[in-house]
Amino acid sequence: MSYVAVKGGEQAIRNAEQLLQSLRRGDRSVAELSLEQIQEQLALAVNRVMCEGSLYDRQLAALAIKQSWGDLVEAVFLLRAYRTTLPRLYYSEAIDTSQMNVRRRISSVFKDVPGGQRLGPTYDYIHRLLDFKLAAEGSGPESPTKEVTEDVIPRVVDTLNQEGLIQPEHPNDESTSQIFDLTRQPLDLPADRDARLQNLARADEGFLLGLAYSTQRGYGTNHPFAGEIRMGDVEICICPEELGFEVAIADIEVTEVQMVNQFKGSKTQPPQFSRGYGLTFGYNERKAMSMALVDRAMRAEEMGEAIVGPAQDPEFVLYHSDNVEAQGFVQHLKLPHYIDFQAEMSVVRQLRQEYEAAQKDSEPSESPPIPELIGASPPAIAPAPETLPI
Amino acid sequence: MAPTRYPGFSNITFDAQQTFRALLHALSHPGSPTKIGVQLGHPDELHPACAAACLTLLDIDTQMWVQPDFSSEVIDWLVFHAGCRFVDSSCEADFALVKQGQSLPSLAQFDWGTPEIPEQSTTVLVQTDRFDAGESAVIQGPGIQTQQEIALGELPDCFCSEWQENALSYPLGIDMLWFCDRQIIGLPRTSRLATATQAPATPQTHTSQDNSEVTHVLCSS
Amino acid sequence: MPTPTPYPTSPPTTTEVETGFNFAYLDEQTKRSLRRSLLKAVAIPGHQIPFSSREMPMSYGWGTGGIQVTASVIGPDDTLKVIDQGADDTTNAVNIRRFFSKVCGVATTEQTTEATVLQTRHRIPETPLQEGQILVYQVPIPEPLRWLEPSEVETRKMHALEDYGCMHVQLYEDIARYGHISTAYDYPVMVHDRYLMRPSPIPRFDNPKMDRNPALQLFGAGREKRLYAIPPYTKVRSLDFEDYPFEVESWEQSCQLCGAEDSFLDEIILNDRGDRLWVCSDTDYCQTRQAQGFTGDSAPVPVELS
Repeated sequence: MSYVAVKGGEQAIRNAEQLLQSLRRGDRSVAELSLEQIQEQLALAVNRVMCEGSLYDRQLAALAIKQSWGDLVEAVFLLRAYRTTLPRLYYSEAIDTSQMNVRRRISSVFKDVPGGQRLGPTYDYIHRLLDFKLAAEGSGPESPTKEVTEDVIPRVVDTLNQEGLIQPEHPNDESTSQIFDLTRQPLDLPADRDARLQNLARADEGFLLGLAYSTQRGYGTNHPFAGEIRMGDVEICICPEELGFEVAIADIEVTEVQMVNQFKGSKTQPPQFSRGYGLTFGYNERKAMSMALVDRAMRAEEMGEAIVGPAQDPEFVLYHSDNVEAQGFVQHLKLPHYIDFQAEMSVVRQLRQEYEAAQKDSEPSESPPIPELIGASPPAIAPAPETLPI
Repeated sequence: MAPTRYPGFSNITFDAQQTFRALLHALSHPGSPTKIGVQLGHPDELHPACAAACLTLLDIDTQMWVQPDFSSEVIDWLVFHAGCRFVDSSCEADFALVKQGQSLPSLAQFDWGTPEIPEQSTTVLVQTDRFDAGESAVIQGPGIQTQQEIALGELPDCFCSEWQENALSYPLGIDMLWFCDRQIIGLPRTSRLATATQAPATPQTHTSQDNSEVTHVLCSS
Repeated sequence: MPTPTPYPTSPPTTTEVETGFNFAYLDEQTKRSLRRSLLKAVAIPGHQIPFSSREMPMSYGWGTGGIQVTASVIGPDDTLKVIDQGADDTTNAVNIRRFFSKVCGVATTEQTTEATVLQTRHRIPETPLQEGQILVYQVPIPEPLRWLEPSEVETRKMHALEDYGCMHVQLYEDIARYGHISTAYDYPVMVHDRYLMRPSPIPRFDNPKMDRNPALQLFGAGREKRLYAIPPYTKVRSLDFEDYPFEVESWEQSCQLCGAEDSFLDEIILNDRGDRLWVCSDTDYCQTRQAQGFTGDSAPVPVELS
């Protein structure tokens, strides 16, 4: 009997990294992707990575996408891990989306609205036909009209507000509480709306989409209308204490969604509309709409609504929304678990012995022996208690 | 922001790491003096160990209560090097800074935490002139193999009974870090204390195997 | 506003140190926040302290809690040992050790007695720890009541009220069903007679080692954003009942490499006939014993793999 001790882990890790790098590069006769190409031609992927990565930097996001072989969840992870090394120097002032330079703006609750409906760049009414012309590397048409409006377009929901038909949103009382920052503080439950919205903005798009969809299919229905969807650039300002006045440091592209939902009112509040809010870095309507639906669903308790779906349970949503956390824990099952498995085996063996002894005792002596368990139904051992492999 | 003429740590990363290890050691070995080795520039009113602890623990995320006995020089130095925020009421503070053991305010004036969040309590940083003078006491609890003699210099008369109450309120309560020159003594809320002379007649010849069972006996006065 | 923390250069060292990152990867603000939480954890043994866990360059679930705790504790004078499943040479242990060599340039060791900081996943070394050593555990799920109560809001209340009846009921149900407690690992303990604590998925064989250990034990759960601690010489009691006392695993076999009869054994399947080899899971313990001349009934054949 001989025993082979497995050694050489470090070399194996280095080899794995090299293999990965060479596969990522693909066929070397094909030109290498530049970060500019990714930023310019895969901009929606860049947007998603910036949003879930909690870091607005197109170039770094493009690098993460390139490095991760186009795996966007992996790219989000890379960006977040880099973000850890950056100290927070300032908190920006709240952005004002009513001052947005709008590229797209629609409302589905009115036929026309002040400032008009602006379709902008959207897939919505495009026939989803594979465009084989693109395969031939043809350059696309020039932009047909002036893309951005410099005019300030009032928000539809603010118009509704004039009639008092929509629940007002209360800003955080800055004298008593600071705005919650998940990147600096652990989530605290029950979580206030600021923490919930930040969590949703960083949340996995697919997870939010599925949850939002579940609310539309009856797991926490709240009758949403797309009050307004707008996309464009807003200004970021900081107000350094040493200066005492605001300084604009950048323009960023955001998508904002305000969903309007009916609220029947309560003893203290008149019937009115309530709001679900979604905001993403970059142009990402699907995510922003999902976020708004889930935000509203999580307000069920506040609105006195029956909680019937997972989207209405903030603890469930907030603890499972982050794909960096989720992918890590799901995949950690690949790590060795042979110690816990050994401990579990010794328990199962003991239980098995006891079970067989008990069977033997209860069997009349003339009965046939228990058949061997080959390809048969699993042994009728009572299930082990709920200990999970961790 | 008023300028300060004292430079603070010479290497933020390594000086803070070294000081933290001393603090961690002190708090996990209550009553046993731990020395810090780092050199730093600080106002004379602060003992070197206390100054190093401040720069290791405080920043923009911490609320600090500073005993009014301190001069503005200390405040300026803390603002410049730590950037911590200051509160007027000691019961809102994450950390409190006390100039002299004798002038220690009543522990009731600090935040004791809540049953769900006992860690929210104030950590009190106290300076004292001697670790070998004043009434000596014996403490027991986590971090102490059997028992530990401790002397913290001149203390207010009520401190012993207040500390006893602190220990009985566990898991709520105050944690203390005492500083004398370059030395630190940690006194977490788990340390139960009684003056040595008040120790009961029951022989204290227990082994490390039964320390936690007899701790309450020591405090009965 | 505080002056932004400059990135200091790492101290001179012989290992290959990654430049461009702060010492131990985390920025100083993050370390301070972790350090404040660690002091609280020591002051309230076994109580979980929420901390602002950061994304590390390794996945959540792969030891980021332990890594962050180690990163906030470790200094240039430390000697680090990292084990996974008791072994220094598992890929994950190698990887974490490699990370700290890269971002701290600290000395590393495989010898339990030489290390000042030990990071572990799923085991406590067999060699008794000494005063002054720090043992850092990687914790996947810190909440001992989690399988019984999924809500964090509820479990926090249960800890506040010291309401641990449901855990006793669960263990008792085991006894009623199987005649003994069947929890094999991550066996719950009471710390300093107050807080119910999850020791991380160590086998229950290791539970007694936590009790009144001279070393400082720190626990980090990165994804769940919690840390907790057991100071030296602190009472740690595994839950049990008077008529069903806590028991640890035992083997009929001894280690076939070093002959140890007191260590946790791995069962290694050698071939498809089902032949097995029983060896110490603690590789340092086993090798130290072999170097001292102890032998089991099978000699090892180490082979380099890549």
